[in-house]
Amino acid sequence: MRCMLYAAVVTAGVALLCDAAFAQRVGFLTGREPRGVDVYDMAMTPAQRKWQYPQSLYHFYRWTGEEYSNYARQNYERYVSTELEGFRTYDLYGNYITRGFEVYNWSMDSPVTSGSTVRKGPKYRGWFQSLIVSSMSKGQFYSSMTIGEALRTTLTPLTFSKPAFNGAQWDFAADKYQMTLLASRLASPGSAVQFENSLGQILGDMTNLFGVHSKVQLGDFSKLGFTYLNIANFSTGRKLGDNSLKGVLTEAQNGGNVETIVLRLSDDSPEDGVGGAQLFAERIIINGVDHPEIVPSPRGGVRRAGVIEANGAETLELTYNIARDFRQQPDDEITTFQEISEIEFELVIANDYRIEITSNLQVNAQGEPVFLEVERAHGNVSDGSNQRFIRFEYGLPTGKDIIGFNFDVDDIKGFNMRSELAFSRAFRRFPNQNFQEHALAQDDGMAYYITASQDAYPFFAYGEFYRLEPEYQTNAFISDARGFIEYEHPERYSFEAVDDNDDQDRFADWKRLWQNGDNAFGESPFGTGGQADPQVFPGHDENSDFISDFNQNDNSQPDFAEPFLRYNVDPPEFLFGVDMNNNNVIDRFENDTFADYPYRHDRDGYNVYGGVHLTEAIKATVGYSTADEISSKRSAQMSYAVVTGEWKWPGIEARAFQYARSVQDDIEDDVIQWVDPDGFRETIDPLIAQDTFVWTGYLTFDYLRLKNLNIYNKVKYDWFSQRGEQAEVKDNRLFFGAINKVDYPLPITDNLSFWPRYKSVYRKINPTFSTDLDITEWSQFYMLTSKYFILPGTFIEYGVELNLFRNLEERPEILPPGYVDDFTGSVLALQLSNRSAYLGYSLTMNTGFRWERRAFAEATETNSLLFIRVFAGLQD
Amino acid sequence: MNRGMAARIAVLLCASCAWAPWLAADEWVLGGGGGLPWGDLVQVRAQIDDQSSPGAIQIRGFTPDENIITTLSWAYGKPNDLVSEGNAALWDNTAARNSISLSIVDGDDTTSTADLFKTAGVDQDGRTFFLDMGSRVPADSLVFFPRQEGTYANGKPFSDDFVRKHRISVSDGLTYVNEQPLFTLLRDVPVNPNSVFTMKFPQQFIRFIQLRVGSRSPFEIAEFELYGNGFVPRATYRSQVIDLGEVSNYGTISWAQRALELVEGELIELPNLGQTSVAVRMKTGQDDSPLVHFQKVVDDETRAVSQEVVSEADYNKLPSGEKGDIEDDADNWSPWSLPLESGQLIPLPSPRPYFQLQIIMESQSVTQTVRIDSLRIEHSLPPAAAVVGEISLADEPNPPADIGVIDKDDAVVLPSIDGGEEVLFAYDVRAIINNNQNGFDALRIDTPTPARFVGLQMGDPLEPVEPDRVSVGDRSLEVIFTSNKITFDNNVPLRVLFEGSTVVFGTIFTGTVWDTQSDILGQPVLEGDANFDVSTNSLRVALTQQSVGEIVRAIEFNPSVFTPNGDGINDHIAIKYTVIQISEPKPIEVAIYDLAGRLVRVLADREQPGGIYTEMWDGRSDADEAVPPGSYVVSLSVDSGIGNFRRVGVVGVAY
Repeated sequence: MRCMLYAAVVTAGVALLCDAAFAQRVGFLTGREPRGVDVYDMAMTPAQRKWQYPQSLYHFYRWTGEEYSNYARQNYERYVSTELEGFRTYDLYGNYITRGFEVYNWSMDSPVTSGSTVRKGPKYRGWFQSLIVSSMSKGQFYSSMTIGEALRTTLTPLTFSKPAFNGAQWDFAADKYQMTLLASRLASPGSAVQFENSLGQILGDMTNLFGVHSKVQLGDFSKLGFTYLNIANFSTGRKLGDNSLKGVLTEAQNGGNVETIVLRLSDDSPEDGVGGAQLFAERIIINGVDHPEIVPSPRGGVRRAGVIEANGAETLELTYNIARDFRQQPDDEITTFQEISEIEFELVIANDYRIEITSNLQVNAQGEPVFLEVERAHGNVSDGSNQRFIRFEYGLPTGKDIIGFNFDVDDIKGFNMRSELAFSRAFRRFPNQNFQEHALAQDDGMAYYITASQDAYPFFAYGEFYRLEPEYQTNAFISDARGFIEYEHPERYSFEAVDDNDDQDRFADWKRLWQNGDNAFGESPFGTGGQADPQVFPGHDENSDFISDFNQNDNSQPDFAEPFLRYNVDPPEFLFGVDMNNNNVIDRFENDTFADYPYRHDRDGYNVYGGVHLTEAIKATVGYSTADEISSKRSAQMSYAVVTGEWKWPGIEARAFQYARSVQDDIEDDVIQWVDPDGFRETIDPLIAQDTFVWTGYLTFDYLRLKNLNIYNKVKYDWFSQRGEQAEVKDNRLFFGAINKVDYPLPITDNLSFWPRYKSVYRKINPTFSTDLDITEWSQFYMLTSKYFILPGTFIEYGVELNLFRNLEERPEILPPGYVDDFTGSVLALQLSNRSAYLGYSLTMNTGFRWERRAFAEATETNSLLFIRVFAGLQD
Repeated sequence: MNRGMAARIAVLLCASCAWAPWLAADEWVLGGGGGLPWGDLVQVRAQIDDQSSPGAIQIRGFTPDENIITTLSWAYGKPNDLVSEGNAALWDNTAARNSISLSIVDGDDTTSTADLFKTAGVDQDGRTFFLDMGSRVPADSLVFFPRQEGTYANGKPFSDDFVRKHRISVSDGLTYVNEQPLFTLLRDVPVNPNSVFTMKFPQQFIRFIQLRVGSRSPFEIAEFELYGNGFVPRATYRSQVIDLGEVSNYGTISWAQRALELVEGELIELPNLGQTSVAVRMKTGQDDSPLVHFQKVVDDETRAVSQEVVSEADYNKLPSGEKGDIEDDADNWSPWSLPLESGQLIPLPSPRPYFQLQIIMESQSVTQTVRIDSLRIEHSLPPAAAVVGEISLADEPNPPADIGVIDKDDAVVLPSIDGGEEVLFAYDVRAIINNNQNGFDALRIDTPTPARFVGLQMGDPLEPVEPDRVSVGDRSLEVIFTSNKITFDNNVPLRVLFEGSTVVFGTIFTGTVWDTQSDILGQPVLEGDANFDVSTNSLRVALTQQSVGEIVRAIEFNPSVFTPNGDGINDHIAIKYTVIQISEPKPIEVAIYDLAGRLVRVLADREQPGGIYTEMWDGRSDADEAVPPGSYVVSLSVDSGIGNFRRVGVVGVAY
């Protein structure tokens, strides 16, 4: 019985082994396994003569070095690269994978001095244009690994969101479960090498990113998510277990001993000039033991009755010379400063302080000390009531992690909710070249938001509650190839888990090395080549061509100031929208330099509104919003009401928006706005709504009922009525603008058409500050363009424009800055266009001239333009 | 008093009379009729006018026909390098740094930039001139032009080479973006047909001017002129280091100031300071330089760079690569004081022979200026060469090493108490007295809260001594001990024991000693080791960690039930409360409510800083009616920077 069983097993085993498919699964007997070299009989022949044993030349070309080669009958065959089909590749177990090329390899070998390798083979770029997708699916289970240099990736808005992530993303999805793993060697994600035998980028100290996000569907309407993101320094010189998710010090960071530490205290709100940092006393604790003999040298500040203050732009620096002053204390277990493993500071401090720290090991590339923030006071106290003992440890940044939870509800009888809670932990370690393990310190921050909405037609309601502490940070330092980190050079040494991308395009607005599609877009005319996005105009690029809609021909003149084009394009000041932060910039056009969290950093507040659809066309909303700037005493409260109406009838469209609000806002929301054609301009929040009633309105009326006759009308007004103490320092502000346009395209014959147009722009501005100019201006534009087709593809276009500008303010004796005198402008333009096909492209040639004249009372300006331009396109 | 002692006193009095001319306070006077001239002692002069009114200084003003540019001291500067007050700088954006451009501010219209911007074939569009006037000046017009006389060899006049297109921007020097002044466009001139460009604009304060040339053709500028009308917003006068010639104590500082307003061309004195202000600061020192100069030294072996102290003269001779830092000499000089008030006692370390003054005058109105006619500083020989003191808890002379003060060379430890807690302090004083110095027989200790004198001890070892007189104020304690005067021959340590408290961390119990038998000024007690058995070496008292963060302590009532029936017994209740940490006046309210929550009486509704306070209630309401007997709630509310703190207590009223 036993023999029969044995025989049956053997038989079955042999049968299985003969099954090729099965053989492949277990990795047996493919015939391509690495075998080393065999022993040949012919090598055993004891002859003195050295014959060349047949190898590749014989195998491929039947040629040996000893036989006469004659190609008369059989023509010569050229050498063919054996690399054309690649190389045999094997996995960790020696299993044959394929004959091909290594496209991507990221490995970490430890403990090895330079054990981290990222290699992207030439085919990575040549075949795959820097993007690899490896996917599989079975039934309801899907998995896909994507490796690239510009992956648009979002885990959650508070934890990870980048338009061009350089790394690997591995996604899993099932019916109710989804998971994503992220990984990247941030310090140097690598770029494609040139040759197959080129090595990749090898590092010993590096910063890595690992992240996971999982989401589970709970019931039919809700989802629960968890996120963990870790950015930390690793060293392959250590064993894997000796590294830490909290990071380790790189060799460059740990290249010495801490000999001096400098604390810098300053005013966290320097603009008010008072109530800055007040330092009463300090002490330094080394390895848990007090060291009163280390007395800091103070520099700066103002001494007053037992305290040193730093107000306004003043700073107070305390320099601790540890190497010089350290003496062993009775409780010390160490004898010299080189044995220090931990340094803490305790300060008695009050008012609106900001504490920064540096040391001799915390320097930039020039060896100059770089200060990093330790702590800031909340609020803006100036009476000493927030006096406290502050204790903190010194350390160099080694890592950061972010933990988040999110919970969403989708449409339960019109109720929707999104919520997220996230914590960030920043880790620091005390450097000492004599130690392998280093004391850890950490700084924590928190952020959360909840948004909820309920739709129950005709009613609707919305509420949002949020808090983003200033200590909540999603950026981390990354090292370079030497393990060096320059803390004041964010473009090279900082990684942002949440990018600043206000225009929501494929390029982050700021420059961060490796993370702006450096290699993916660098060669493209639309790429930034790793630079910051050079053009950021949120809301001004509705056709997504990366060109401002106010300067579509991308020249040195905005379209609303350019002859003929200005008929269709109105100045940006006629745009309308809500301005919830009251900085005089419509929210959807704002551009800043901060990470795109769903709410502004350093804010705690809420906003609730409710409304009703009065009719199909009219909607009314009332609400209340409040926000505090956590690090200062500034706050913003606003009660508001919005009424919108949109009507459409055949040939008639009308819209009306009324937005009224009572505002008390002294939070500075500075932005950087794009001004055509010059570019970025810092826009300081004028704080003109500190105690103000604001009423903004926007009305449009378009009449298109009559054939060919188009009438457009637009009115916008802003009224800022100052109250209380603000009325004594600011004037009421008024903006009133009206635009009226009429055009009547008039085809005369098949070949000839005329297009008369009229546009009127009226502006009245009473500014907030008396130093600014009062403006009352009226511009009228009379345009007539005519087109005559000589041939089907050739036409002459003639245009004339008359511009009457009248400054309706009384002309002062001394012209203030910005005052524009009355003038009459005229423009003549003639253009010949020819459209033809050439080599498969559609060529359009324009040639002509434009002559402009502006006649002021005292002077006349003229300029002219002659041109020949040719455009090639793919479309007619 | 026995005969022997009387004789000794008589001798002493005679001796002091003989020395009387040396024992009075002296006055050092600057300006005025008999004082030192302002101009003789100036180190930094920025927009100071000492000519309009002899013997006085005032904020400088400009008349419409006065070229502001020529009143300044110009140098060729560097971009991003702001000048200090009193200086002015000009620079341009030519690649070759060329100070020829200074000719446009030299006040000489025959000098100009000449050929600097006339190179053939070079596009001059974009040439930019920056003018930094060092401080803001009122301006309402500017003019610039090339040479108006003279021609080239070919007969073409220099005046033809004027700037034909330009933009002028200005900045008031108050707003910076990325460390650059924020410029606003004053005028964009697309076409300038005039050789002499004149521009008027609404008067405004300007510090920086930027002239950007927009035309391509060659040009020159001979003069740039700026005009305005009115007074500058800020003027600074800093004196040289003053040497009194001998070590001195400082008394009061006083000055005569007047605010003046320009009305129809005449300066009219204002009844008050109007929109002007004056800030006078002072510092005292041990040597003749408040700065320390360092030379960079490179170690030959390690190549490490360190810094060594050198004299100012040697520093100035060093090549620029060896010049190190220049720092304040914190060892020998005090920092600048807070702004002083006229008549105020100078709160600076003394005795010291050197001092320095800084006066900053500001005006918010172009029509107002402020004038200082003279300034006086009292000083006198010190009663002792040095007086040091330290404070401790009487029963804990050696507190545990804890938090330390930050501006002492020696390690110090502070005695700690709970905020508002009454404790017994020991205040030790020790002096060094030379044989030609008077010594002292009085000590005043400044206390943050009312103190109670307990005892005086003198000698080594300390023995109880009866003082001649003790006087206790709200915030001070004076002890007179003429009978046991501290002199060169009787130089013994002394100790004052008193009960007191503090409410702010690190409060300094400053002390002053003086000789009641002469007019010489008092001498401040400096922190130091006055008693070898006490380890604090400091005059500061800390709060314990548990009391930091506690704004208001519990209210105390005495008695808790009172009888306001006019019988003289317990007719009033004392409501004592302690406010901790608050360093500036904040709203405090003490109110009485009945049990129904109705307000009965507001005892205090004012702003006050931290301290120990007592309010008295006589059992009457705000309507001056006797309240019914029963229980009442006393509410204390403090509105601090971190929120409102409240304490309540219950008192009883009985008849």
